[in-house]
Amino acid sequence: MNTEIIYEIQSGPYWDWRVALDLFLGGAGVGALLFAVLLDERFKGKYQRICRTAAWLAPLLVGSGLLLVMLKMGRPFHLFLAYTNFNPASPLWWGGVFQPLMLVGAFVYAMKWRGDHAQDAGRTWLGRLLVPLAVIVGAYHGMLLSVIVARPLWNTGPTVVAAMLGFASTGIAVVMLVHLIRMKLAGRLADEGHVAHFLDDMLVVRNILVAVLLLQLGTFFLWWLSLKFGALQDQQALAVANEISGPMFWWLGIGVGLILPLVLGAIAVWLGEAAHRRLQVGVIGLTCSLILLGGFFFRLAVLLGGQEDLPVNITF
Amino acid sequence: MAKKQYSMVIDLHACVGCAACDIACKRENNVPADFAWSNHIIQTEGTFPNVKYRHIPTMCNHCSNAPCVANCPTTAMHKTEDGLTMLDADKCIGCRACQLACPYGVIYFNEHEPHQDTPADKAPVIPGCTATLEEVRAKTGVPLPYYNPARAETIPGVRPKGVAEKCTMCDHRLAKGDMPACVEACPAGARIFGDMNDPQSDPRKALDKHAPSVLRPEKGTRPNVLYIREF
Ligand code: SF4
Ligand code: SF4
Repeated sequence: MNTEIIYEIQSGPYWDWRVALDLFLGGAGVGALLFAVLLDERFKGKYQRICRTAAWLAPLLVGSGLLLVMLKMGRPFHLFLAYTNFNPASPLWWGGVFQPLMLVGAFVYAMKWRGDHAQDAGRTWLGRLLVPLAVIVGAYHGMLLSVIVARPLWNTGPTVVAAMLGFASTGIAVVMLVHLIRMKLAGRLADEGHVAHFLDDMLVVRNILVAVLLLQLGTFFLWWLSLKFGALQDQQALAVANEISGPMFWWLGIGVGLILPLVLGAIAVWLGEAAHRRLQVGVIGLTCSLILLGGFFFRLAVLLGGQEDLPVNITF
Repeated sequence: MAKKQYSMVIDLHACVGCAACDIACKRENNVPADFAWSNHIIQTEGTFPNVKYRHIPTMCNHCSNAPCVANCPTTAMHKTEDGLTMLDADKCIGCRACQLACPYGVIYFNEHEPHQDTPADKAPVIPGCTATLEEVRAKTGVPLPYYNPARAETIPGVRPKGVAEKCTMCDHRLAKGDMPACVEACPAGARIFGDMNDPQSDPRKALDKHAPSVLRPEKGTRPNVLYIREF
C-alpha cells in the first residue's frame, strides 16, 4: 500500500564530523594512554621512547577531541555546569566531567616522561591511577551513541563493543605510526636499539592488533545481522543508513580500515620471517595509517547514517 | 508518582486539520519562524478510491520516561512536579543530545540569534509592494517583530542562540489557571487537557470512553499526549 508521510521537523544532522572526530580522537587517546601504561608495566622502562610517544599522544588526542566537541556545542563555556548538575544517566555528563579530568591527568603523566628515567615509581603509580579514568572516558565514547533508544542503528550491543575495540586498534595504530615517523625524523629507524629487537618485542602488540581487528570484523557482522533481521525499525534504520553513508562504511570503514590492514598484517608476518626488516617497518606504517583512516570513516559513517529520522507511525 | 500529571488527549475524530493550534502556539510562545512547537504529521495511504488521510497534531509528549531528560548532561531538560518536561535555558549548553534522544522530532535548536527572518526596520519585505516594519509599527502601535511578554514569565521570552527549545504545555498560562494556547484555539474541541491523576478530569473521562494510542509506543517513553478515535 502507498503511504506518504509529511512531517517537517528541524533537519539534521544534529551531530556532524566534529563529533565523529571527537569519538575517533578521544578513543585513540584513551587507547594510547592504556598502551603507554601497559607497555611500561610489561617491559619496565625498556621501551621508554615509544611509551613517551604514547604518553604525549594521549592528552593531545583527548584534548583535540574535547576541543572539537566543544566547538560543536551552542554554549561550550557552560560545560562546567556538568560539575554542578548531576545526571549520571547521561553519557555526555560522564564525558563532560571525566574527559577534562583525564586530559589533565594524562598531561601530568606525559610530563613525567620527560628526561631519561627508565623507571619512575611516581609515574608508574600515576599511570595505574589513570587507567580507571581512561576506561570511564572510553566507555563514555563507546556508549554515547548506543544509549540513544530513538536511533535504532546505534541502540545495539555490538555498537558499544565495536567502539571499544576501535579504541584499542586506533590507539595502538596511532602510537605505532607516530613513533615510526618520530624515529624516521630522528634519523634512526629505532632508538630503542636495533629495529629487529624492537619488532620482535612488538610481536605481542602486533598479535593483539590482529586479534582486535578480527574481533571488530566479527562484531560488525553481528551488528549487521541484528539490524538486517531485527524489528521493522531496525531494518528501516539499516536501509536508511546504507543510503546515506553505506559506501563510506563498507569501503572506507570495513575495506580500508579492517580488511586491508589484515591483509597487510599477513604480509608483515611473512616479511618478518623473511627478515626484510626495513620493508616490514614500511608495511607496519601503512597498516597503521589504514587503520586510522578506516577508524575515522567508520565513526563518521555510523554517526551520519544513524541520525536520519525514520517515519513516525501512529498505530491504533 | 508526580502530584499532578498534566496530559493532553487529542481526539482525531474531532480534529479538522486547520492547524489553528500550530499558529496559536507560535503566537503565544514567540516561536521562531522555522520552528513548530505545535506541529502535525500528514499521512496519506492507499490508492484512489481507497485512500486514507490523516492529520495528526504533534507536540512534546511530556513523556513520563523521557529520553531527552535522561540524556541531558546538565539537567537543563528536567521533569517538574506536574509531570511536565521542561528546559532550563540557563543550564542548556546546546549539545543537542536531547534532539537526538527524542523519538518525536519536537525539540528545536537555536543555531542563530533570534529574529533572523525579521526584515530590517527600514526595508520592506517585498520592495515596492509591502510596508516597512517601521511603518507598520507606527500605524498599528504594535511592537514588531511580534512578541508576547507573558511568555517571559517562566522561560526566556525569546530563546537565545545556542540553546534548545520546545513545547512547555504553556506552563506560564497553567500557572494562572488558563488552558494551553493550542487548547483554547482549537475550534473543534479536539484537544482535551487536564490532570491525568484526577479521575474527574476531562482527559480521564475521555479515556474512559475511548482506548488511547500514542506515537512510537515501542520506544517505551510513556507519552502524556494521547490520541483517541481515528477519522
Ligand atoms: S516528546 Fe521528546 S522532548 Fe518531549 S518529553 Fe518526550 S522525549 Fe522529551
Ligand atoms: S541541548 Fe541543552 S537541553 Fe538538550 S541535552 Fe544539551 S544541554 Fe540538555
